[in-house]
Amino acid sequence: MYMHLEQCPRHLLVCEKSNFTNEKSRHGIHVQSHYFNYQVNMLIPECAVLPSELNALVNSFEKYYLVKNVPVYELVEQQFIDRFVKKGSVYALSYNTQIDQDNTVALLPTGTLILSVDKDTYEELGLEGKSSQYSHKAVMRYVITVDLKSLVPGTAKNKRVMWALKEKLLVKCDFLIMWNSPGDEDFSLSTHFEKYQCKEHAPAVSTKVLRDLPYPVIQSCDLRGNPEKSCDASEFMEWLGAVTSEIECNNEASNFLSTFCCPEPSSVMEKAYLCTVTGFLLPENICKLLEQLCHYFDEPKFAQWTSLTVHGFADSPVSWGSAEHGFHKGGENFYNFVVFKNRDYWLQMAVGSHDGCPP
Amino acid sequence: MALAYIATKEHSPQESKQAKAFIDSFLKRSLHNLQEEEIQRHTDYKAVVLEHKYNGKKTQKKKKSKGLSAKQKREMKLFHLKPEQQRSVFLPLNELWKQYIRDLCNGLSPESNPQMIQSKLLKADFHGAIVTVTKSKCPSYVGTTGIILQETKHVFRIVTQHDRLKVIPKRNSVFTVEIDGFITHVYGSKFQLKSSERSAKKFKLKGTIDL
Amino acid sequence: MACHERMEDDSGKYERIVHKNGSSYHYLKISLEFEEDTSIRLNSAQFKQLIISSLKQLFGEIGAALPFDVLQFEENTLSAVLRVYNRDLVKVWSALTLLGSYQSEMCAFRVQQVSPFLLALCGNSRT
Repeated sequence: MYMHLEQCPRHLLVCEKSNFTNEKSRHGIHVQSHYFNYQVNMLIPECAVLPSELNALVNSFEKYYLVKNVPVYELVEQQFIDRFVKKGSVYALSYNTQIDQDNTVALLPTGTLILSVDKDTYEELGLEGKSSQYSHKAVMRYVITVDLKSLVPGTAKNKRVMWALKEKLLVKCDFLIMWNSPGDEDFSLSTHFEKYQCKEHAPAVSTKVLRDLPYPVIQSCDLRGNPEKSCDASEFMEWLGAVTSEIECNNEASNFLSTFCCPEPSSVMEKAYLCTVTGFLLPENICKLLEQLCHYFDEPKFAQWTSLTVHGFADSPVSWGSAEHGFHKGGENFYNFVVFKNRDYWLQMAVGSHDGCPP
Repeated sequence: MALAYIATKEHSPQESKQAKAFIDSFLKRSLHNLQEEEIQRHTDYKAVVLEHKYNGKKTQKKKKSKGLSAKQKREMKLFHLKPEQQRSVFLPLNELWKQYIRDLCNGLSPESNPQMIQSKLLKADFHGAIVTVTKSKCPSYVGTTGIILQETKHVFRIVTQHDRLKVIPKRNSVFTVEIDGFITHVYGSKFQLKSSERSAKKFKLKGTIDL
Repeated sequence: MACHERMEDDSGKYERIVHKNGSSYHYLKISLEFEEDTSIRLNSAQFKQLIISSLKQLFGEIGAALPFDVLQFEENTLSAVLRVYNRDLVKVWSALTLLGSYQSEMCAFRVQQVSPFLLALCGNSRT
């Protein structure tokens, strides 16, 4: 049949292997620079009750605010910058805006405001930006970046940004917003956004214990796998996906419905603890969780490894750092840590077609 | 002689002395062996046209002065506007333009038909109008406001509030003209004509247009 | 397709592999919707048969022979997770889109999420 029917968009999977004790290990940077996290899945084999330290961490994920109908100029207002942006790190992401059709706004903790707008808005707004990396011949999307920290009140640039967002075109959206402050809090986000409908949300935690689970055997030193001894990282990731979505993976090859099997060589674990946190999650919290997960092996355990999966928002305008992110077919941007007993770790970072290569 | 004179006199009432003298001498020279009577007999009752003179209307081709060529105009910088212009100078021009549009539309009132106004504006002269760039492919043009000083095929030259002369290409921009509460959007890309040619052009209705 | 870069450092442990289009499968999260409330119940086998028949309608016998897996099926919500080969993704997707009825009841497949990674299906922020 037609050749072009058989093509599909490119996707990238980066697998890294290193050790937490390695000085050059960049696991912290990878976690910190993935700003907008939607869901964390933690899988601990041979465990039915979460250790108290981990449990405390899981339940201590910071609360976030959902503020409705906020004009974007509120984020450029000098008061907001002085109170929050310059005094800590603010994470804000427009909510329920689809990046392939709506205007999407994000405020990174670095103080960069990113507006990903469609062509018509861009032409009307009058702010200089760049055309989206992932556009075809006719550019339909533009990305405008404003560095809030370098914005000096009274300058032409500041006035222009305010004028564009306030008078020219009032861009409004719902925001998920969070402020990671260094300590003293003179103001809180909820009082600052009093005028708007502002609601505090806590991340949702759900846990599950899975029984008699076949699992692929993996070895920390062998990222590429070995046909006889262990599975490779991408096979493991597929299996992990099946487990978190609760897909049966002991089918026979002759099964009509599905021939999906656990990758070989495999073994069976008696039980496994699966914990899911969903919300607007701070990278700092994930960092702590990862650290604690390393300490899980401080005491002798049956498990050979634990895993931590972090999903990013599909409609965030950035994936890692300030790399542009698009939706195209799935908008996936996630990473998965496999923490081994000997402090080795695997890091798998995956992105879809409208995304640069992960760092 | 007398006869020849008569003959000439009969046929051409406006005789000329020169012609008569020429005939006399010519006959004498060529018929010197003949007597005067014989000459007279030869020319008797014969119509001899001695002089033909057409006295119709004289067409005087006047050379029309062509004026200056485009090149000369350009060299003389005839349409060159100095960059420093004072907006206050042109405010009366704007008043004049407003009055002109009001006259053109037979007075503007809230009940006026917007479509009629639009069709009038389409053919109107825009010099003196206050325009604002509302949409543009180039974001830095957006928001520029001023009085149109000059309209050429491809650009508007406007003077802004800060007394600066700005040249704004018509292409890829949407302009807004406001008069007595009526706001008209002008799609610059479809407006790329000299104002003199525009008044004669027939615009077609289109459902949707991009910049 | 995979390119390797190895960075030997002191511990000699850092390794990085970049897989470009490494997955040979695509995963689809779909659900079946009927226009009106019906008493029709489908089990997983009937569900798969329906997809096969839609493939047959559009692509003939070759379409009906395309291999794909129904990894998960929920009878209550009529939602499922499919696994198809990359080369068949467009065909399966188009067949799902063009299916209009089941047992002369109007119905439609909704493709909720498509990803080359199975792991991505559990963390969909767009719902």
